[in-house]
Amino acid sequence: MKNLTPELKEEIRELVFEFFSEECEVELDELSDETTILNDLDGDSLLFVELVELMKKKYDLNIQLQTIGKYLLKNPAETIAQVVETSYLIYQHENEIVNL
Amino acid sequence: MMTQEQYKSGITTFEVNNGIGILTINNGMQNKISEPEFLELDSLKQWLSQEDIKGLIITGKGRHFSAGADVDYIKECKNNPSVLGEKLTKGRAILNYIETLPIVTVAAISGVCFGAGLEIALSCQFRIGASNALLALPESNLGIMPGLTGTIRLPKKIGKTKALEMIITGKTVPADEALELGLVDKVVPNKNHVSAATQFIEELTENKTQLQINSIIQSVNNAIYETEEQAMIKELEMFLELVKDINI
Repeated sequence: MKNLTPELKEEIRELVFEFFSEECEVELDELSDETTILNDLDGDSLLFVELVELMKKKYDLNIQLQTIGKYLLKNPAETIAQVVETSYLIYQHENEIVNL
Repeated sequence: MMTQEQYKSGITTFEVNNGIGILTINNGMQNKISEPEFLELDSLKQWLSQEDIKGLIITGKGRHFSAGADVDYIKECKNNPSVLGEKLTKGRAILNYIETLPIVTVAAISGVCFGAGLEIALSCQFRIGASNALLALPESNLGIMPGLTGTIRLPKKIGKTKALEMIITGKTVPADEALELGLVDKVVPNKNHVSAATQFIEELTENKTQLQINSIIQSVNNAIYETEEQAMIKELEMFLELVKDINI
């Protein structure tokens, strides 16, 4: 399991917020932890696919999309806060996230 | 900018801007290809028969090109494979038609371009991806395989070895890696994919007559789909036709 430092947590949180801001064309200060991806941002599950690819590239992660899919079936991420939490777990556990 | 009216068939819309046809997959947020016959081939033929269309751009409405086939629909056909086979054959005919068009064809890809979506993009001569583009043939992860010519066209674009790896693993290929593989021809900033495709067609066709463009593409297609001897005979015919109008 990778170590998730406070600095890294903040970096991943910023990455998630900036990603949704850019992709959904919403100002950063309009986003909050409670913002919902589907209803508030008119987003969809494919956004998560893009975010995971972004994280894979940035942090050189070994994570398959189908693994994430299985995890999200049991643990849906509907708000930005939940996406951030899931992103922490992806960083820490990579493909092993499915065994959590 | 000259814009004509918008037409609709299946899950697509079509319009012409400055001599470039734009075929847009428009089916909800994910632009799923709900059926292999995603438009009526006769409609597409009619749209493209308009005069002076120098190129065709295929793109997806909104954030994504297409998330691919509707898996639920495929499951529904589990006990009736002949129906699915007929529909796939019709879908294949659409892609074959697009592939052999004698005009410049470009898939302008943003976001997800999976499965049948990528198979549609592969029927174009060129692919331009936004930097957020993600391409994959993920069917193997669903216990099946590509069924709309993905296993035929992908190896022709990126080679057998890389194609096999991509198809068997079902892995997702981001834009920069797709560029290295030769799966896309250009990567442009997010949301610039359609304008980049338009510019690409305009640059490619600038100062060329419609007959030149049609003849060049037709001749290259002949080299692929006909015997070498037939292709050479037709090349000569087309060359001589162009010589009649030579103006140098």
